Amino acid sequence: MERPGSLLTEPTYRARLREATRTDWRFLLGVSPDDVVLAGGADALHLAHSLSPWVRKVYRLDQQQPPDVLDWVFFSGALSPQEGAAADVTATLRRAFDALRPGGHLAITLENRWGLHWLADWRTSRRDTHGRESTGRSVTRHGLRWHRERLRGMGADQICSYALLPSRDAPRAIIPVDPPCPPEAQKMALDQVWQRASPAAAIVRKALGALVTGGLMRRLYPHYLLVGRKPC
Amino acid sequence: MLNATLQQAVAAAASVADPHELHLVQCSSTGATGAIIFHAWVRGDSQPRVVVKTPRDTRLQHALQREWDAVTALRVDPRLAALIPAALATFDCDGAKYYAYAGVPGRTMYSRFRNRILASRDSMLERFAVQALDVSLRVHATHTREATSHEVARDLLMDLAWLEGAIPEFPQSVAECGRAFAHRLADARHHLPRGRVHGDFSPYNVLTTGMRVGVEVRLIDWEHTEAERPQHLDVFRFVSACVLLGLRGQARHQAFGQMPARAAGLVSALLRPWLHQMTAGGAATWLEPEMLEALWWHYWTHAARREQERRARPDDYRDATYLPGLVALSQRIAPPVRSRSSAFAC
Repeated sequence: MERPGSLLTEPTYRARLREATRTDWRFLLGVSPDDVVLAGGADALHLAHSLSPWVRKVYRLDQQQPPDVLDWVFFSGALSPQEGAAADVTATLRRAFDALRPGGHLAITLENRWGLHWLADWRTSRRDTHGRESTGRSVTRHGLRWHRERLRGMGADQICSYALLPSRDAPRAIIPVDPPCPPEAQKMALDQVWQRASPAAAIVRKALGALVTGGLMRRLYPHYLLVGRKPC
Repeated sequence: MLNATLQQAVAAAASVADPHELHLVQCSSTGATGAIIFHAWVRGDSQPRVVVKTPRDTRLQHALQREWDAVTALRVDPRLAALIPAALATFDCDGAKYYAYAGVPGRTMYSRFRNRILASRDSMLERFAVQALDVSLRVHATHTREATSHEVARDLLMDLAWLEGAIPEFPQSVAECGRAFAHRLADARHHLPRGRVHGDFSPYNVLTTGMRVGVEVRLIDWEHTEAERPQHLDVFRFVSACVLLGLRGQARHQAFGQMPARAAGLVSALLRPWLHQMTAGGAATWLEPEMLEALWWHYWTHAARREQERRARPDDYRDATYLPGLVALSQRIAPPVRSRSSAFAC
């Protein structure tokens, strides 16, 4: 008999949920079982592990891959060890972008330094599935606009971005930011993702709705997913 | 929008000529083994045009397929068609199967509850109960018959036997309580309705366009529907979910332990009129405290089984309430005395 004390605790369940939902964006992006992908960034190890059941092959950044076979490059967490150096980040992105086959995509998950994290527990946890502190940095110094400009500078097209809620690790809601989606859709997603039932939470949700109506919320989401395509 | 294949398939399901008019917002299930849900919006609409589901884990596709089969079968009945979102299309994309349903107006009762600012918890729950009474009667009336009290008791024992078989070292105290309450139900000698049940009739799955009676109502998540089950299980599911609504952790377990007392208002507003409408006689008998207690045990045993069945792994359920609650209750109370006159055989 499973005693109440031996039931899965909330923190352990959250860790398992994070593992199960880490790559939920794969449906929206169209990652297929035939795809060959490269996982990079500070959380590359977790990302590669989570992606492996859904694609044909996962490479890491430090592995040599054949030219022109990569369908996707994913970055999760800080892009390079010296995140502060813009040139270093740009070089990492450029190297990954060049490795894509024509028509392949590069995707980056970012934590927004100016996001409304303080309203709820929306900051990406630094703990792994065993409750240990993660060693990787999750907050990138550069923002969504900066990364978008880097992709554009490298020649990427079809650049678009999404907000990830509640975290980039376990994105239960994925909201189109650029190009934007209707305000009603954003409000519904915010209501679904943060379901705490209290008058204070209800007031905050109403305030978030007002920010959506005013067009400000798109700059304040805590986490983003930025995607660009290498032209054919 | 990057997944052009998905966008075109959703646009076809929504009968939208230009796929670029659609904005796909993903709002997935909160469970690790749940569904990925897309809401496809067209600018200017007040509700999503289409809602598309796909399993996060392909091993759990049977749950979504079961819901699809149930919805397509039930919508043939015009009395139910008005309550169920239309099943539009299924399609395969990138190795996953997708199920597209029509978007419906309104919000779930739970969304209304969690976004209340001034309304009290009790007043909202009573309004929900009145709306739930109306919709439950509409669903249950589509297929119902009078079942003997022995049939109801056997239903309890069936769930109990499942739990005993599925859980090693199932607590003797729960088994004894269950059997004793089954005898008490059998002794009632009054009928209860049996027939179509929604199976997960709760404020999470009832969408309404307002708080009054007569507003538009839709029921979603039909994967647990059954054609032949005691129908009071739906009513108890709703009452129980209302008592636990918005509560977490210790407060939730505490509320479970005090459920019959906390549910008194909902029993008056929902169960009492439901019994009066659905049974030819005997409603007063079922509402007596002893019988009500037996009906609660019937529901809790059923809910404990449901809770256990939903676990993909033995420990894969975050917020188990019913089985631990039953164990605690059965250890706290003495098993009810069995009637010597009962001819009911376990």
